[in-house]
Amino acid sequence: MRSVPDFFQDESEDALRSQVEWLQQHLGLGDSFFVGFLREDARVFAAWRSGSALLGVDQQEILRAWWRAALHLLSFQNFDEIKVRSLLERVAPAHPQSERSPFSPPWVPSSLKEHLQTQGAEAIPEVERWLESFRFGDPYASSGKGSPCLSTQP
Amino acid sequence: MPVNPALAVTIPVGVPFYRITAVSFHTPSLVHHKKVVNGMGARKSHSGARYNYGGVLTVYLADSVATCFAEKMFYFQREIVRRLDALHLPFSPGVPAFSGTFTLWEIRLKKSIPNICHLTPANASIVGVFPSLMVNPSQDYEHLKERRAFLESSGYQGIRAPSSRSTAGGEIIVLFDDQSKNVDLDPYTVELRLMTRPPVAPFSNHLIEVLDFTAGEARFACSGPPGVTGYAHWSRVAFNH
Repeated sequence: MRSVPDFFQDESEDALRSQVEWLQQHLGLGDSFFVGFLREDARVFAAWRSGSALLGVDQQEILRAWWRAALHLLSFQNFDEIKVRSLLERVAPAHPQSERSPFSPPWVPSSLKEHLQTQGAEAIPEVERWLESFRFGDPYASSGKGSPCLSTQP
Repeated sequence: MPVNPALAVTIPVGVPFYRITAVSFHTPSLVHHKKVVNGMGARKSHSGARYNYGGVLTVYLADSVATCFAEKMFYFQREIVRRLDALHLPFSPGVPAFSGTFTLWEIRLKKSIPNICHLTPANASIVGVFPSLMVNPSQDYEHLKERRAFLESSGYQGIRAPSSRSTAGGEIIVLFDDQSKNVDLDPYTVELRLMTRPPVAPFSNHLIEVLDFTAGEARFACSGPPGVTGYAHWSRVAFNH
């Protein structure tokens, strides 16, 4: 029977630390990623990870939202961590063909990891909608790139 | 319009219903399992689903393992086909796996839920639901989302309706409220895979093989729920497409 550790679904602050640690170990998202993503001081973030400092409630909520999105990315790649790493790190080039496709990622022309670092929490809904375009609704009915008209079972 | 007694049924205590999720919901601690039926997937969805607008809490269940597999196989296959369609892009998420591992949940209510609107093709028009759109499997319709909003505002607590993807007359149950405090549930690991057209074989090469768009295969990785027969080995799951 396949299962995941309890902290995958726990919403406590301790679980959040475990989630960050898991993302670091399994998906290669180091402190520098989280510092950029959260717009937080590196020393404060490192201290929070070790349990000796507080992180703002808003920042914790951003981390939880990113963890949920990361779980969706993992599910999207059938829990193949190498494929998820590739999805995070590969640069999506700007190309006229991409402009016309509902499946073109919102992080063009950078990588998903870089996009999250530079855009912060605002990037999460974009990533979620990109994933939904494969899973739900009718992306072909979209009038333009990046905002497919969606429906169907979540 | 008040609740119509002729359409209202009760979802009883203890009867098993089913739902399939990602394995990320399957933790050792039982306390987290109830998130499977808290309806937040629909609540946080931008797009909505078959019987709900985006942002509206909804819990979807299936009346049998067979119905659950048929519904899941439809979405599993469609996602893979869309990913194949995206392979021509300068950036794509890559060739998808043609098989996957998921968690099937057997879910039993602790307290019954009354005032469920039981829709059938014969009676759907009483509450303004177009029967054709209710059973058409090819897409979701705004009409059904709107009718759900109407039914909920009329006092119904859910809908029981034909599964548009079931080929065997299965039904789905659409509940309008969080059920996380009203269930006992057990997880079972299941595997799904796509198949080719006859001669039937596991689909493994999108460059040369033709997919069967009406069926896949499923099995329990270990044992299945008590009393559920079948799926101990790879078994055909037909679905409407």
